[in-house]
Amino acid sequence: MKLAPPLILLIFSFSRVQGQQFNFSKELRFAQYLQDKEAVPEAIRVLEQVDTSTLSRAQKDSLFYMLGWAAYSVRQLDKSVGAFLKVSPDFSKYEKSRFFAAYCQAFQGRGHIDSASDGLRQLVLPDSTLRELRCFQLAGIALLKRDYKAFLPEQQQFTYSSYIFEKEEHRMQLYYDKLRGFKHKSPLLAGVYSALLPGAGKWYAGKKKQGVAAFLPIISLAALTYEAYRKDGVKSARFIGFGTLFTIFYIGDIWGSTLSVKIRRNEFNKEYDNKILFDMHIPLRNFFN
Amino acid sequence: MTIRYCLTCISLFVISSTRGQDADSLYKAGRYFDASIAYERILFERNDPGAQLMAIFGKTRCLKQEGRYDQAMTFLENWQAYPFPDSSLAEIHYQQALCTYLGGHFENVLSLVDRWSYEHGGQQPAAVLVVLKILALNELRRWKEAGDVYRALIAQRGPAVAPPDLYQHIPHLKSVEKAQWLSQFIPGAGQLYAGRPGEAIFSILVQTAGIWFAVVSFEQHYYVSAWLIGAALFGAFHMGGVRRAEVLVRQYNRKKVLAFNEAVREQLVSLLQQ
Repeated sequence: MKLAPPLILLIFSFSRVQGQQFNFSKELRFAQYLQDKEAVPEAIRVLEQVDTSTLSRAQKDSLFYMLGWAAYSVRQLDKSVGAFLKVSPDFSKYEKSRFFAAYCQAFQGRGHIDSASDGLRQLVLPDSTLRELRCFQLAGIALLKRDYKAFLPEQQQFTYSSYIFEKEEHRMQLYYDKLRGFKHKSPLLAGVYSALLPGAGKWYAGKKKQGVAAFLPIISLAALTYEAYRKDGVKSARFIGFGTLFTIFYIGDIWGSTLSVKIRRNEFNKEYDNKILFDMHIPLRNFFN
Repeated sequence: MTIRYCLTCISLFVISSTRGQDADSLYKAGRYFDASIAYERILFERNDPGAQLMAIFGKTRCLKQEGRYDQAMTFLENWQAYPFPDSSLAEIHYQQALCTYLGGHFENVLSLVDRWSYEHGGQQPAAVLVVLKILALNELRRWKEAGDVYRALIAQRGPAVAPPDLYQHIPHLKSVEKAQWLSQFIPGAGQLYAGRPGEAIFSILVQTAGIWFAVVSFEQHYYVSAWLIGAALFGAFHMGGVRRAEVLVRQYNRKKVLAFNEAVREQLVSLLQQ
């Protein structure tokens, strides 16, 4: 009789552990079922609600990997990075998790990009293709940071021989050349050009249509001001009115030209960031899927 | 081993019987996203058709509440081929057509209604589905076909007091090209044709002012002003007037269509309620 309470307790605790394991695998299958039905936000909610305190390391790895992947597929990058980084090195898909975490961090941009390269460098990779893939990702990250010195050592590791990333390696080299070759135009010079010839600063900045669009109204106002001056004199209301309008447009164009240099530069940077990220992504999908 | 088996069975029974209540209470609390997961869980765990049907309609309600009509449409499509009783399949079919209509896929609504007879043993579609077909045809502006279906429905339902035949006054839509053409040659005429006399007068005044300024400036030897202000003002407002007339006609047509479709919708809903 004295043995009864401990025995009941033992049975209860044993059944509880068994129940948790049963529940966990069922939750995982349920989340997978939701993902298969393209209900990914619902799958994320289910995975987030799993109590991790009683799970084994292997179970946690499966959970975090699945959560990271689900969040990645709906571009919830913060959540995806958080989950992928929790996967332990013992897990079979540890390298994949780390590579995708780094990619998500690179995608998130400034503030996360250093963590992306640090995370990749810490990886111990036995496979030569994986090591080259890491170099490729690090090269991409270096280009995103416009750190050309950091790009070159990584680029030297490219073999251009693996079908998985041969084309992307060539393109990354091309992006490097384009980014290095981009002429940083001077906002001051753009302003000076516009002062000399309205719209010329925008033309110089690379916004040719805007340059023409600025030139026409300013030159028209200049003609009207000149006509008012010639016929009515400096003190006439007509001259003052058109003169004021001309001045506003003229100064506005100079100011706009200085800004257009910065806008053009941002557009260029954004365009190449998108290209680099796109090409970083393709080899990851090819290699790991 | 026996104890484990019993405990597992008991817990499964308790869990499955409370799932439906959980989902319903989440739905009642307005937590539609969580409720839809709870209903999906029932579909994942249970194989009995009663529970599955309850979950299918529950999840559909949640998706509708969240305005996720396209997801509801796809979700219901997947359950169409399931061996449920025909009355339940008919309800799934109707919900699918409704979500398709709410999602704005009007051509697909027509296809779903036309498929009804093939999928439900040659039965005629229910009145509510015919109503959806009429409304979809209205949205597609296929009023002649909608009118035929509408009259057939009225005849079939045979209400005590026959409602007025709305399709005898199909909206007369104005021509965009005509409005543009009018504004091109007579300033303000396009706006007047679109039923906006105020805007027509404004357009005439501004364009006349432009011409007047050009002529007066020219006479006073202000040639640059005549050209760059007078002519430019006239040209800009003339071209703008043509484009504005087009926009106004489109607005007029949309308003007419909405008013007509709304009147038909109201009449059909009240007819169904009788």
